[in-house]
Amino acid sequence: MKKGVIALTILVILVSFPLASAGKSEVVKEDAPAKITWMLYGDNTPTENNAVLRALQEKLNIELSVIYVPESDYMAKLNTLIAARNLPDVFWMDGNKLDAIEFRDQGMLKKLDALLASDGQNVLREVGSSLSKAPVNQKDGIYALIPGSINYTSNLAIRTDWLENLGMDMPTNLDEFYDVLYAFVHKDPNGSGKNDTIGYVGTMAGLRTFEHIFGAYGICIDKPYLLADGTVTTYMKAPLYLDAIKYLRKLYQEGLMDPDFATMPLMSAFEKLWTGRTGVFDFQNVGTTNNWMPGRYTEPTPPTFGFTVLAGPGGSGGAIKQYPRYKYYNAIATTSKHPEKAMQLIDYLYSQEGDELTYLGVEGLHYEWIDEPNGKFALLDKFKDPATYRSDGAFVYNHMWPLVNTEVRTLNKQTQEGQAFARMNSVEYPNIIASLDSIGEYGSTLSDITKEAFAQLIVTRGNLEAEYRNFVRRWEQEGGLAFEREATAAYQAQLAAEKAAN
Amino acid sequence: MKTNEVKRMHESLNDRVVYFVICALLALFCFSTVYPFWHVLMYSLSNSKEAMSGGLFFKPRDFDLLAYRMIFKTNQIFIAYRNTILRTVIGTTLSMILSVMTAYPLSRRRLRGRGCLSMVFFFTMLFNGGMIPTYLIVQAYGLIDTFGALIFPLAMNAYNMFILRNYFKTVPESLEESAFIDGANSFTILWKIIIPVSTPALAAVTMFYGVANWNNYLDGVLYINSTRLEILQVYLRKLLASTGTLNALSGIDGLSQAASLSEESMKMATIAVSILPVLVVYPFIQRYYTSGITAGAVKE
Repeated sequence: MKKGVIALTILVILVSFPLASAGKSEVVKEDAPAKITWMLYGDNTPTENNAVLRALQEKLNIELSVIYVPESDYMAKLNTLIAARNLPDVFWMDGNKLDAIEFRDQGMLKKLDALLASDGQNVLREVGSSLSKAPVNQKDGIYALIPGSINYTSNLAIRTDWLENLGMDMPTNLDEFYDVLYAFVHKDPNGSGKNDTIGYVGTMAGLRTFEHIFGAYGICIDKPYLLADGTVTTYMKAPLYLDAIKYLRKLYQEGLMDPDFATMPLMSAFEKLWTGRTGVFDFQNVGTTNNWMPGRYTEPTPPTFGFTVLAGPGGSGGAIKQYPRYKYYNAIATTSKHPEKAMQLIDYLYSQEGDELTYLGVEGLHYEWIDEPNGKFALLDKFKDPATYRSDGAFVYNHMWPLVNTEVRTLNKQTQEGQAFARMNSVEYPNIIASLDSIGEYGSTLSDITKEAFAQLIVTRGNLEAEYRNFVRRWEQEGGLAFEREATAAYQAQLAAEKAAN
Repeated sequence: MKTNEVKRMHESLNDRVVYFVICALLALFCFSTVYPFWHVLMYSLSNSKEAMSGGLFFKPRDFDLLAYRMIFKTNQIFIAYRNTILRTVIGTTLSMILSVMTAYPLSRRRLRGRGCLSMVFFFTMLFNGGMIPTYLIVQAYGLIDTFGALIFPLAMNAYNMFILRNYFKTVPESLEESAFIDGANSFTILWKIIIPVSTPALAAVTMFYGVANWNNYLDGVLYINSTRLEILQVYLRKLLASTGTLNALSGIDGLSQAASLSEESMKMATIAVSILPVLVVYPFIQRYYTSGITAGAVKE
């Protein structure tokens, strides 16, 4: 009898769960706030009814439900929702991984021109002139919005405290850079009396860590290259590619470069910088001199850094130029019942007020400005703990990225100046906006070949030129020529369109 | 006599050497099995900066609970724990009820067409609907963003059901026949005869379902939208990745300590928090585990 009662209880519980959830009936009052669902990616852990969400709802008079998906699984979830025709009102798409044009043609993306005119003044002010350059917007109107800001440019950071200890100046060309690396390895730059420092730390897990050496040869690593005859090809076929490889080979053979470059995870490369084993690092300085400073550095006195650009055979150099993110889309679904409210939400997030709210939290509750023009602020009371701070919604919902966004404004002075310096000295490449079929078909094979070539040519003891020619031949045979044809045509068309527009 | 003694001594010496080698190998094997867990635990209890120098961890370096403090700082982890514990308990219970009630009839020769029925279940082991069709079915039943979405889609696993079916087959039908003669019906026989004699298989399959429910991640991402229904694995995944964004807070007054927490330390603490409940439960049912599987594998 007792067992029967237990079994019955379990059954009732099991049955009641779905019924309780599925049986929700919606009673909509006429003056009730519009319900908006917004899906975005992120790896924070906000609570359900946090202060930032409440502030957004109050400001816009909406009932906002956020579907907050781990970044690594966002595209899987979005694809599933698209297949199920169950899209949220507002959502983000990565146009490099997903065919947004097809979804537009299937009628899943709301045409935004009218909404932009009525409710999108901030959006238009931020990105109005560049919206039509996004591939998805090149048919008959605007279907998706793009960010105002661009990605951070890489900086070659060199420890100035070590340079001072050695009586050396900041290197400005490849020869001086070699001398600095040699001294960092052999002349005890940290004064420890031990042989505990290494030279150049770069890793294939993050090819950005080689940007400035290739930049000195006029090459943007892992990006397309424009040959003198107008052909767009792989950076591996750039005329000075082999010279760049020879420079790295020299560092490798003379022990001035970390020998684990081909297998080292990016995090291990970071750790070599944080623990004071290397004094040279090529990465976006938002890490080096801002986000990691001083907490991540393990030495008693945090290191000091300066930034430089290495001049190569052509007398110039720099990092890879960053272009607008034409395929970072935010869109409104055609199924949205309140598209005007959805646009108002997006528009608010493009404004400085909305960006501050979603990045820093609620002013007076989470933080207060100390020196607003210079981006200095302080967190208040219990929100000095980052877990509590983020669980209440700060650092979570800033996804529209206006040009001068709060993140950029709150970087320290050295980092902001470093970014400006890097942008001034960046190397251009043919940035093709259109999606290429050959990339979809051969992209991963071609990328594997160039990566294999990079590692092999640095460490090989064989005939460098012959091996290089083999890699180029393989690249061409396995889809490279098709890529060249398509990329060249697309780039020429893009240039012609830009010329016509100007 | 003397020769025999020497021989025995030699044998004894040889035995001892072999015994020592076996023990050494087993100790090495044991160490290689246990050490990864120990490493994770010790690393998670070490100060991030000290831990960064790498190497083996036999004890914490500069004992520090910062990673655990970060994990347990907000209420959300307790919500995630609650949801995962509930889904594990309810999901496993439902799975066992369905599996036992399916396996039992399929194990009895008096059920006509049991071969065909078994094939229907076996088919699902070879082919499944895939992510999107499964989502569509979950959606069609109105389960999206409900607790039921964590329970029903994976309520029965054919592999586990077959383990039980094969085990039930080993129970002699004569036991049932005598019960029938005494007036018992099929349900009584299942409840009072089959289940009590199948404890090893039931324990093993319960553990399979329990661990699967505990570890399942993708259904928490695909079917759940609300934070109130977030499960532990999704929460921990976000928490782990969020350590990187702590960096962005490091320049802010008062946050440098938290920002010094490395991804690696957070990863280790997250693994410890995630597997600890399973490790605690495992020894209690581990003794059933091996016997349950092997017994189910042998056909009478």
